[in-house]
Amino acid sequence: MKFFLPILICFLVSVSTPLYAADTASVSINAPAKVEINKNFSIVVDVQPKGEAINSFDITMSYPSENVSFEGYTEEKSIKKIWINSPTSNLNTIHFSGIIPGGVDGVYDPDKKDLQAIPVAYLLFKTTKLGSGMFSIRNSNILKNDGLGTSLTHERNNATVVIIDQNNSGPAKAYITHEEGDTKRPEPLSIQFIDASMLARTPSMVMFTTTDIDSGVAKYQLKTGANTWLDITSPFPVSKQLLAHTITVRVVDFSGNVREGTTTIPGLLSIEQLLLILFALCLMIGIIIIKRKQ
Amino acid sequence: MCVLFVLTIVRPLNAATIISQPEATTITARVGNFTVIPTDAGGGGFITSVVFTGYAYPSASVHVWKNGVPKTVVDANDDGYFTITLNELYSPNVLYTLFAVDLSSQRSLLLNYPVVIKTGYITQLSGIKFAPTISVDKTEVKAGDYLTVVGYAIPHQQLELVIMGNPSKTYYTESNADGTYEIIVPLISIEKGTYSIYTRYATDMKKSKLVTFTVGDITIPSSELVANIPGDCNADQIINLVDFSVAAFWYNKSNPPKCIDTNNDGVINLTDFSVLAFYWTG
Repeated sequence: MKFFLPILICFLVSVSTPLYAADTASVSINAPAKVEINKNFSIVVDVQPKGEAINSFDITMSYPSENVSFEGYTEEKSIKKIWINSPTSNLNTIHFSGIIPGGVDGVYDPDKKDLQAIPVAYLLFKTTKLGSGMFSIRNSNILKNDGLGTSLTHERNNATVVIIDQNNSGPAKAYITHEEGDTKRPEPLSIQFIDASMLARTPSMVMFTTTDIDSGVAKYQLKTGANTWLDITSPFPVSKQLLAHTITVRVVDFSGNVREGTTTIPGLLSIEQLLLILFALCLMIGIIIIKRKQ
Repeated sequence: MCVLFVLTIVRPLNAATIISQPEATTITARVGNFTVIPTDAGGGGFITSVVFTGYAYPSASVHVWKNGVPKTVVDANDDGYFTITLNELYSPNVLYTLFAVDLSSQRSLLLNYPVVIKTGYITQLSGIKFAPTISVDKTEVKAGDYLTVVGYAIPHQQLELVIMGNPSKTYYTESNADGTYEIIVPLISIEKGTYSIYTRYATDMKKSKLVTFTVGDITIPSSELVANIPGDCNADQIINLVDFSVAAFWYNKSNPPKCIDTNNDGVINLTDFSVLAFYWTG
């Protein structure tokens, strides 16, 4: 009987702790525990909303930049979304944000018992130096799909990666999760001109989007006529000229592959209108000359 | 808190034992039942498909998009029941989006189902239920006047109408045999101000669209031309990439247009994008 109380307490603690953890929404970084030096690997940032539908996220995380280099991101395995800011690196931090139109509360996987966490980003890295380092979430904002933008209370789970030299560390499994040498071009660009007349106080813009399955979109560039390429983000304000003109948008992925697309920006006047004006001008000048001669 | 539904994965040994010996696992999910059926009964004839079943509104059209691209449309029957079968190939990451359009051309909100598709399996998502559609007869109501709320739902269902506020007020009704419902709300004891309302089934936590109205000094009837959808700056009744781009242009800029500043806080931030995502029509 004297063992009953401690056993009961141990039982309650062991049962209640996982239950509490399991009921809490979370943002987690999932990374391999060990990776060989000079190898590619990926980490997954996922959201487990625990029964709530979510539709937007804004996450800033840090990574051990002295041990690994950021190589981009892949769209293939992550949830379909629209990036507000696609993953970009600045020193040792990566920031990304996006929306999932209509919201989602988990992934249906027939091999798994429960609704699975939502993989919002698959980030690609390459190991550069032996040692260990932590991937940690510095800031995260997850909003519910409730029409009000209510924040989802959640916990954050970080991950540590050890970079090993297989020759000196014995047989250790290398977690190579993506291949080097992405040679595929990004998908064709979708480019659309939005006229300012449709929008209150917002200028005419071009919006453009595409995806790159293997290494992610690194940047977009714009060229008008023979001008040099200019780094831009979507949407980009453009001004109409007298006549229609063509602009070229280029997308560059993290492996340096490029694809270009063009669209026509309508002019203030059509060719027909311009010809009509020129004809009218000629007619007026002709009339004036004839009158002066008379 | 969200009501938790029962999701069941049935993993029988072969097709012949599906009914008699299911291995059932209970988890929480948005749909009623999630069933996976292997289709190779020994002959190697694999069928890979995804089946959606559930209730929308009587004679509604139910649309399915796959990864943002329209895939198919089916009509619900007089009870609002629909079933959709899509023959598919293996894919580790497919996002199905469903929405319904009722007989008055009102669209439901989107329902998303990210699914892992396995070769040789029929994946069944059943028990899908769209929240009711909703519209109101006035955008501004003179204090003491009435607001009429109408929409479509599954026939003969208990409905709740919630006026969000502090405190919120809830009204109850039942949908008719043809799926229509109507609630006339007296605005006698409600203070002047702007409110959001929604409807939902008494047994389901999914909300309809939020519709805003103002209690003020005059009455202004609703117009079909002005649906007052948050973020719809070009007033085309659609929330899509154009509206997203307007929000993106004003992101972190000062003095944004009111039409895109969905919560009127003078700045475009993640909250405004979240509201766009909620009302998204594509």
